[in-house]
Amino acid sequence: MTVVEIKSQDQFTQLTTTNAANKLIVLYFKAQWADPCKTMSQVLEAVSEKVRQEDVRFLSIDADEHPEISDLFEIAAVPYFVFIQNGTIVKEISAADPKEFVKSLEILSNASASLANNAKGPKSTSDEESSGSSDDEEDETEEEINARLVKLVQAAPVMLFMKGSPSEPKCGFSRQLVGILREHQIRFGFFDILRDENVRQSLKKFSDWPTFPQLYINGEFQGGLDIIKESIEEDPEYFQHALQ
Amino acid sequence: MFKRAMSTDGPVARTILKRLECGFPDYKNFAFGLYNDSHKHKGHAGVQGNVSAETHFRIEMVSKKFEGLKLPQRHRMVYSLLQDEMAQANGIHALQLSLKTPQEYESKAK
Repeated sequence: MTVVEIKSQDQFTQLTTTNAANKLIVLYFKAQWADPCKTMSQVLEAVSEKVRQEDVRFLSIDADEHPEISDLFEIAAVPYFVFIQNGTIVKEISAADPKEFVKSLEILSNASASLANNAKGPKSTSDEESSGSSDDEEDETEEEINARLVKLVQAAPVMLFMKGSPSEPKCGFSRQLVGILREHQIRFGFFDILRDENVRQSLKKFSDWPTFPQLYINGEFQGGLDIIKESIEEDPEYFQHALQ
Repeated sequence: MFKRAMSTDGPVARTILKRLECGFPDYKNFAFGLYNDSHKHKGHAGVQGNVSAETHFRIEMVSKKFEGLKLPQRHRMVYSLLQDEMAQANGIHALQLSLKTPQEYESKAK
């Protein structure tokens, strides 16, 4: 069985964080009562047999049995797929469409393998910048980290780099910006900069912006909380215009 | 319950004022506000371990230098003046900025 059936939230958390190790993670939300899920379950089983275990992890979640996990991703219908890389939601599919699922998997698993070559895993954060590497891993070169950032800021049409996650923000500004995005019903990907010190430090130079949260739309830096708030005041349809 | 004093007398606040004066000589000619919101952010991730009472500031500033500039460019002007303070472990962790041209400020006040 290459698809892991989730039995508890703790197991889910472990498989999607400390044990994730740069894999592309595919979450499949299903329900016993939903007929389209039977088709998609078969597709998922067949596809997962062909994908390298080192590159992709498939997790299957019964939405009825694990409402707390479904709530994390605001699942409103099944079958539903969520693709995650490095703690970032990069794609969501809400349809029983085998072709779209397989296509997305091909694109993202290639990107994931590429990212894995360039990326370091999450590491503990520290307020102080270390001048040298104290662990066994080599530091990424500036070119490598920048290549990773170019991909990350385009991982979703609206991409939020924040402290914590949307369901568990770690600072007030990140929480407020998540609130604004939700209030405007904007679907967004996120990256928790507390889990990757390289991204945290390098993104400041990348965007020439020293603070978090940072919001990107279609790969373009937009600003932090202040600027998004001010932009919405000036243009209530700011997100619609920015996304065009 | 007494409202906690929001001190802008500390060394970081004074440094902010000096830097702003260097970069924006005209700021005193217009409405200006510097607020220490540090007490609201005690214990936040990224702030833990920082014993300073001067980590979070809010600045409201008006200057002709902002004319023709989009918001991110304006903020970067202020950030560049304060980058040394923002780079220190016990320095500024967050700035909230409201940066307007005199014309924008006037039209807002109406």
